[in-house]
Amino acid sequence: MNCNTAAFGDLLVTGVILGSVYALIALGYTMVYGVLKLINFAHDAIFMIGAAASFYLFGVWFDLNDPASGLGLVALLVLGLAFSGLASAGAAVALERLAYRPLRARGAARLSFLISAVGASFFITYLFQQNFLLGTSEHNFGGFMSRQPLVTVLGADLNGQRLLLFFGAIAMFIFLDRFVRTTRTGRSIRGVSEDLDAARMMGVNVDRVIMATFFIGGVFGGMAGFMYALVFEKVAWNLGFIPGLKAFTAAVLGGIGNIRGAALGGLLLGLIENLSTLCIGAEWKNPIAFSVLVLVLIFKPTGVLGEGLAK
Amino acid sequence: MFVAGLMVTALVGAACGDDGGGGGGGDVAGGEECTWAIGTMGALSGDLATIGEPIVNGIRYGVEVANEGELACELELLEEDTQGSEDQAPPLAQELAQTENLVALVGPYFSGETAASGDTFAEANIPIITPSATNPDLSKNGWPFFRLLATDDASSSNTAAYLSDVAQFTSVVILHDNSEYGKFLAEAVRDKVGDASKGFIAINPEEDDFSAQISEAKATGAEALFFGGYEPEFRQVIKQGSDAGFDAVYISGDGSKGTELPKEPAAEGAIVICPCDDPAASTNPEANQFAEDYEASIGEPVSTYSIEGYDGIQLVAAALEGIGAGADTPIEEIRTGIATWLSENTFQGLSKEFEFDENGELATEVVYAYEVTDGGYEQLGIVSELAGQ
Repeated sequence: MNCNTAAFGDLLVTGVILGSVYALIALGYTMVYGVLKLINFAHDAIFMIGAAASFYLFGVWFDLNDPASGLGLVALLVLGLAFSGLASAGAAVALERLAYRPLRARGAARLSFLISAVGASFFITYLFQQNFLLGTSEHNFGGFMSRQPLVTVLGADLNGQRLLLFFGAIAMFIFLDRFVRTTRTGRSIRGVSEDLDAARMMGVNVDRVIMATFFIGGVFGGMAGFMYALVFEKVAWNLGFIPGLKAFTAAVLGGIGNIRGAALGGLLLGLIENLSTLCIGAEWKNPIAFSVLVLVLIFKPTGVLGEGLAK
Repeated sequence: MFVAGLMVTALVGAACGDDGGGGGGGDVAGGEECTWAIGTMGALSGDLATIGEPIVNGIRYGVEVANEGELACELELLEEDTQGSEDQAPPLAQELAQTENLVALVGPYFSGETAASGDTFAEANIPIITPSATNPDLSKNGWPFFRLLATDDASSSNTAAYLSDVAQFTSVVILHDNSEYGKFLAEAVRDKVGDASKGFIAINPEEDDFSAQISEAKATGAEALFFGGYEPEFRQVIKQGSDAGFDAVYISGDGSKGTELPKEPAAEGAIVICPCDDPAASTNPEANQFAEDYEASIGEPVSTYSIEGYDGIQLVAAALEGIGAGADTPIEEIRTGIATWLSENTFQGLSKEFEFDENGELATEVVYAYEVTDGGYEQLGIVSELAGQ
């Protein structure tokens, strides 16, 4: 075996960056699973909506092409994060109201939720494929941010887009972890996650808590979509397919329903994917990553950190 | 698998081509009004539409010009949109092949879709005249097949010649997208540069993050990176490569010579080796004139394979005239007549002189080198001449 040690630093750093994306999207899967025990397969579309919203804002309405700098750039980034986060959160809440709540009201079987989720994912994705929205071609995006490398870590050059993604993900995770542990809404979310019926009897407004969960997952997914589009400078109707699938995998790897598990699972998956190419060709990164997933699940079916928001 | 399922649905969902009414106009008040249909199919929408659009525009303009000539019947173009996918091509090919007044096909544009649909046309004896599909195996199927440009064999030999004799690189790392076209070209370049090849790495075009592949490529320290594949991924490879500080010369083949590539700032200095002629940069004044007329008619500047698409239509028109086809000639006779005429005659097109061998390949294959400069392409010249061969 011929190991490519020269690339180790590069692969480590880029693996962490890639993992940050997975982690942010994985949050959306994990939080909804935590409270509803439902895999929200439409979350990949929620992620794509965040990217699409920022494309409309910056590419279509503002039509920004020249690199901004200093405070102007910071303002644009904050605006982009807020706008894409809110757009996706709105879509996620609407999704819950239209696709899941009616089923819940009728006490539908779990399988019905799953079918509804898959259907919603198809619906939103193909809606955006229509020509009056994104259409079938990919769009260039993010010309307002310079791609010059800012720092070099372990031999890997990092530009502003990737730094934003990494530190953004850390900040968002710390915020969310605190939020769920210390606030009233956070306590309600944990309560519903532990036992939905008991929480209802204790006077928790379950519908409101579920809505809040979708909202938070949507905000994070949307912001991730915006930052992802910045890194790859593209927006397309199918932007969410692969990241969504990988993030779902990351959520399961870390322990679905567990917020810290989503963070860990995302990082692990990103690192496994990239570091597995050290000794074997890069075309093997997906088979290896998914083999690791299967192995983890065989020995620890609940994922590395185990299930449950409450923990 | 989930993703694959979604993709299939995407393909099926978008599978609706323009299909004008077939059949001749019949006898109208003593006039001899009739139409012959020419089919074309390729990526008219989707990610690869930036490659398909200039081709179909060249074809459209070609039909416009041919109809101003002396043909016995009017030419009508039937367009089918494959989005560049070989999965989507067969049913669309079926639809075209069943069109009664179809005399020839100018297409398909990509090798994969040509391989997937050639039999359908061959069974109906419809001549397949491709302006842009470059896989060498396509001419080995016994189809009535004619290729208006050099094959990937010629492209890969010329790419290797460019790398070792013109640019004189001693190390090159090779990436490809695992497609029929991209992988074939990449393998051929790898074999032909020999010891200079420092790595052979696949990317998955459905993914966006190529950081693992870029790291692997960067670690080879190669002077040049060759990519076998299409423009959207080549742009990502260049972008992510330059982000990662991999300062190689980025080189690709004809699949990457689209209109979006030069707009990418990091692509400045990238090289594209292409069997395509650039009429705007050509030394042939008629080709220069074509570039102007095309832009006036289509509203966009001429781009890769526009002129080859145009020439495809003019070849069909010349063959129709050559065999003396008229309104009463049975379509079956016209189809075989065109194929026979093309293999027996020489035709001076705008991009080159067309003389086909028994397999429908060009007798003389010409490949050009282009460099991305100032947001556009500059034609460096014919590779064999640059290499002093």
